[in-house]
Amino acid sequence: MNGRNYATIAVLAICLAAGARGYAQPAPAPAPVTREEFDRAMKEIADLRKEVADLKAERAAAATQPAATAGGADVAQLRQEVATLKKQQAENQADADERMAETEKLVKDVMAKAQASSLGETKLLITGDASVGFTSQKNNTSTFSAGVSPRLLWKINDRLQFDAAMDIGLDRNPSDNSSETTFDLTIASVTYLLNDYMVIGAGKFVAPFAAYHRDFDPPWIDKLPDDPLVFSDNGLAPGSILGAFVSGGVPVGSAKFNYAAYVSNGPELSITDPATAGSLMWDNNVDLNNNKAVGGRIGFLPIPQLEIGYSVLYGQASPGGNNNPTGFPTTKAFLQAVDFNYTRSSELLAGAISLRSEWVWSKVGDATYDPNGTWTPNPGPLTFNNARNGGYAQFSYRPTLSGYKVLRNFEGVFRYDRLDGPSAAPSGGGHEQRYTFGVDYWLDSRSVLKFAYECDDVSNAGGSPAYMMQFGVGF
Amino acid sequence: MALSLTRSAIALGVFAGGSLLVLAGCEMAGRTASTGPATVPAKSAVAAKGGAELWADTCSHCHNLRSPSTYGPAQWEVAVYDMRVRANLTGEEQRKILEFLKAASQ
Repeated sequence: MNGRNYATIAVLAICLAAGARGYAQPAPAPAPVTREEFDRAMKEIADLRKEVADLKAERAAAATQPAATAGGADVAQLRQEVATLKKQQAENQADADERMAETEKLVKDVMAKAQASSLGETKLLITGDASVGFTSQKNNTSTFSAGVSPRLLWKINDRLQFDAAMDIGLDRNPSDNSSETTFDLTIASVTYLLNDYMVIGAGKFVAPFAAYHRDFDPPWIDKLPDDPLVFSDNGLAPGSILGAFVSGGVPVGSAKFNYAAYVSNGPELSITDPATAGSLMWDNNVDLNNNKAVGGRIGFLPIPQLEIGYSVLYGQASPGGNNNPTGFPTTKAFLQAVDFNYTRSSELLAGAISLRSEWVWSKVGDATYDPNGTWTPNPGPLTFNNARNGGYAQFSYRPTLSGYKVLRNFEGVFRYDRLDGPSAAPSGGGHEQRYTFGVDYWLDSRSVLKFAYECDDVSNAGGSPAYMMQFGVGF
Repeated sequence: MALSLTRSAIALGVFAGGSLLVLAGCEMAGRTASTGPATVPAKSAVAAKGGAELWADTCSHCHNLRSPSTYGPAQWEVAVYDMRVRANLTGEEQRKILEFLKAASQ
């Protein structure tokens, strides 16, 4: 209610009071009132009554709800302002969260890129193997042995990797008991993943010829302390070669094929030492005849546990530069190998069995050795059929599912291996065969203690049985 | 010539013996499977196998299985790349085995 209403009420009240007093006084001569004046007065009275009633009602409403009329609008306005502020704050928070997420993603991307291009330890893996051993052989001095083969794997990116390995050992010459520390670079290769089924590489790499050197050679994988004759230093199969290769695996239905093809510098032909004349050596680092050797292997896995492989190598063999004073002719070398590997774990057998077998054939073309007749006691010139072969068959069993826990870490091994040389060679040729019985104790999956007894049978020389122990570990 | 034939016969004998052992092993394995509680179709295709199964199949073919905790995820990347090359794994086998080993190594 405003002040003007109160003033109107007061004026009306005074008028009414004055009217009442005047009506009580003795009336003067009544003035005549027209009908229009009377109606107008009655209307004014009715209006005044209505206005008074409205004022009373308004006052009563003000008394009962003073806040609603006095501050309701302010509160509503404040509430609206608060809601607006909250909405703005939520929008600002969402914007800040979004920006923070973008920043975090950016930091992660930068860190990932920095890590990918760094030479840090995350892309460099140092692995390898080591062994220590002891051998006691009839007619030879017993001796300890040791060796370590560290490997450096450097992953440059998802498709490119560098592999380097060296073989550090202690070589002993049984003939005069001399020894030396050897350091061989066995692997220095770079590989590139061309697609899901093809890898290319170059450098010095393990020859994809047969399976032993590639798959079973490390002492924590090999189940016996020594190598089969055909894969030993004086054997037939190449170890590491210098060249380039392509390899891969291809699934065909439920089976799988794998393949490898390579070109390399080729072997060196030994011609000066009567004990090794006609044999091939693979540790030369130069191409002796500018004719590259080529080779390959194809493997077939009808089931994952079985692999059968066939390898071939063809090249020209020449004597080393300083070993060829007489212009020894280049001869052709042709090698073949088959390999077989079967592993199975069976509850029926209460363990795992492994059967491995490989055989290598080597044929070197005809040549005339010692043309000047300088060898003693059998001087040349000498020509012989230079065909050799050798291999091994190995069976092992480990009761990994045995109810006796103590037996689970033991593994029994038997191997037969043989190497046949040309009987007409100046070394006397003949054969050597061995029967080896071994018991391994696995400390864990990559540490093994091996004990073996080996019966040796050399043609024209009798046997020299040996006891061997070796601790092999992969790291 | 006769000696060469003898050597070849020995080699073939070794492989024939090995093949017989494998066949015997397969036969025994088949019998073992037939006595199992359920007949499960053989999953032999690489695509149908998971990383753990491929890891067990391919790695144990040559050596004992190393524990996945031997290396960390970054190191397994390098090691599995190496085995891709050395063991002639396919790209799919490499990826599945690596995925398994990285997950299991943590």
